[in-house]
Amino acid sequence: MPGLFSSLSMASHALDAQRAGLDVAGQNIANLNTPGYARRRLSLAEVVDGTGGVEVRGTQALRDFYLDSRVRQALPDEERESAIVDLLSGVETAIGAPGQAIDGKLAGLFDAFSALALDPTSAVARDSVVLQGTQVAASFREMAVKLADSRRVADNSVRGAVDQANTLVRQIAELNGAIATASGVDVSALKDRQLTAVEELSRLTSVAVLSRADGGVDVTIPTGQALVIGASAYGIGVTTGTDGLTHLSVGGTDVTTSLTGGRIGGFLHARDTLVPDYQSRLDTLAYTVAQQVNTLHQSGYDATGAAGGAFFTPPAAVAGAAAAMQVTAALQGSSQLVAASGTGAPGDNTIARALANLRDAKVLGGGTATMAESWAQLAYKVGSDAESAERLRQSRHDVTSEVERLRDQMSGVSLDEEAASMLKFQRAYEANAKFFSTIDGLLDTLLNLVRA
Amino acid sequence: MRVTFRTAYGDIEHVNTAADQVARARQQVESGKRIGVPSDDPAGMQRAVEGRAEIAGIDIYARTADSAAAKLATLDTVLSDVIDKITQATVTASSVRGSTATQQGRDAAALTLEGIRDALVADLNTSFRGAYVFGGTKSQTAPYAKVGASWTYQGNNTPASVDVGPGQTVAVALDGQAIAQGGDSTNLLNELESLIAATRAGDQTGIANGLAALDRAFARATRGQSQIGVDEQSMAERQSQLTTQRLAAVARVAKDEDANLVDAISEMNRAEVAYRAALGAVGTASRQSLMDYLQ
Repeated sequence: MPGLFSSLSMASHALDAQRAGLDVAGQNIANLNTPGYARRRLSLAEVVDGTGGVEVRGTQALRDFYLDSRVRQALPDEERESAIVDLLSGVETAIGAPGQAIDGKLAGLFDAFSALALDPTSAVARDSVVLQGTQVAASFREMAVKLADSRRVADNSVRGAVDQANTLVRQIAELNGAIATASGVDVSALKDRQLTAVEELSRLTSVAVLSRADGGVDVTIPTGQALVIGASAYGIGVTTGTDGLTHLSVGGTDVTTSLTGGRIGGFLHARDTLVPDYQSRLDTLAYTVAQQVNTLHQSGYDATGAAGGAFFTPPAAVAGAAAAMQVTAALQGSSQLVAASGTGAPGDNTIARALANLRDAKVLGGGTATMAESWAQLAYKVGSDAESAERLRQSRHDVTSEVERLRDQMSGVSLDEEAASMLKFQRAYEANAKFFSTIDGLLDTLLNLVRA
Repeated sequence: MRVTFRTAYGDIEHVNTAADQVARARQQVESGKRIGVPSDDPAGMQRAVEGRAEIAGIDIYARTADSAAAKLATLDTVLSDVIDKITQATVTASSVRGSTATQQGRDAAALTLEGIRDALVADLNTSFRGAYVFGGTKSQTAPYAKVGASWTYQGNNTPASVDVGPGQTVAVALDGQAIAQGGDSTNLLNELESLIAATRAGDQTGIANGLAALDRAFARATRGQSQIGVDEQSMAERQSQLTTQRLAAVARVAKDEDANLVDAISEMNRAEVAYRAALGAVGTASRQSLMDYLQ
């Protein structure tokens, strides 16, 4: 049977334990808004030396590693689509409203050729044809510049995201080092930071995470190249290729086509697949417009009776046709060089009519689409890609939110729980203080007996 | 289920979603457009672009048909005048046939025929907005000019046509020679010159030949005017068709492009109610905590 001093010691330890409980509640409340924080639970146990007291076994961070990994898997999918949506919003703006972009300018050119067919000797009609042709060329060039800008924005975004990723990779490696050398110190806070850094990295690119025996994590990209091994960070290398675009490597291996997840994956997909497809479609349209108009124009005769020249500067190739499109300098200098006649007679309008009728000619897509329809298909493709990315982003966001909600149920801090916990430890502290006071009173009584 | 601090306040995301829906609905009501960017309705966007191209094509045909109708009206008027003049010339020449006509009467008739000849030259050299309409595609040269002693056709035999629909054309500048000469060995104006000379000389055979030539010219001009009449009728029908086609195309495009304002306003109201509800839910959640009951 323990003595009074032993009881006093037990009460003292119990007071420490209840105060530790209050500290844990305070820590949980203090970190209500801390990203990556997992709520702590005080671990108390009865002492086993027969004195019947309580001891603090430590605090435990409540985590579910399965849910953590689910979050890490869900984040790259959502962020990839989010990056695509962000980038395509710029392309969508460039497409413009129906009738306001290249389609409207093409309609204006055909309208001008039609007006010229009505009055093939009119100087005003000739001027209008040159003006409308200039506007068509300018709208193609403008669209080409906007698409090139979008690609450049995507490329710059890849570089920015890689910079962020490398910072996080270094941070994870440093945290690994700190955790490995903690030697018995509570590393829960370091692990919270480690988890947050890994999740932030998952937003940028898909990663595989392997736990280490020393508490750290090794991080690799899905194709196996290591970003972090223990306290060593390898990071993603950035070089500029001959195409002027950013190429990525890990450990000397080019991984540009391997990084498909996260914001980096989204930007790379937009840069290397989506926008080039739009550029190719635009170039094909521009090339066809220039070729078709030039072929007819060169078969006619201008106002002076001379054989017609090229209307648009002949494109060297399909690639780059939109960016290089322009009405020839000769035509810009003199609208008399517009060829409306098929015979040289000034009132002959057969070429002007044929040029106006190009509007309805199915000259694209293997003879299945008019020029306006080809533009409509491009607008559809951009809209469809953006809509699809937004729908995927939303559905993947729902998945992420659900997994995060499940994890939050395990690891999140509940204000009500902490309030109840505070009350519980406060009352326990008060009771133990009372016990301490009572034992102290007993000792006092005993000492008074001895003095008497 | 544990309701954590983040769960209670995480609903702010739903507030953002509701606010976004309000903004989108409001944009539709304000702009009157259902499609702001292609992703709002990619297929609708494609149909709208194609529909607008169709409307632009219809507008071009309509404008061409209007212009063609104006030219045809001019040709009709001129050919009416040509027919009148040929009739007058026939009447005048007929009046001096036979032995009863005096030299004075024949001279007066010749003068009248000269006036008719000049009027016919003016008719055949009619221009519309600076382009001759009876010179075929040689629109910048007066179709009939006196070269030496005879009237010579300066135009060509290719009528100028315009398109008023896919595969539908109408001639707006005619081959003047087909009307003034046709299969004859010389043209109406030279026939008139011969008739004038025969009238002055009292050459009955020459007058008879001239009257026969006038009859043939009358037949050609009448045939030409009939064709113009058919074309004018066809233009009127075409203009009506184009108006109907345009209305249908505009309705189709509007269906894809324009917002149904009743639906849009209803959607905006619904979104605003949802937004207020989301705000209220978050506000209520943030006020309720056990902390409020602790002393």
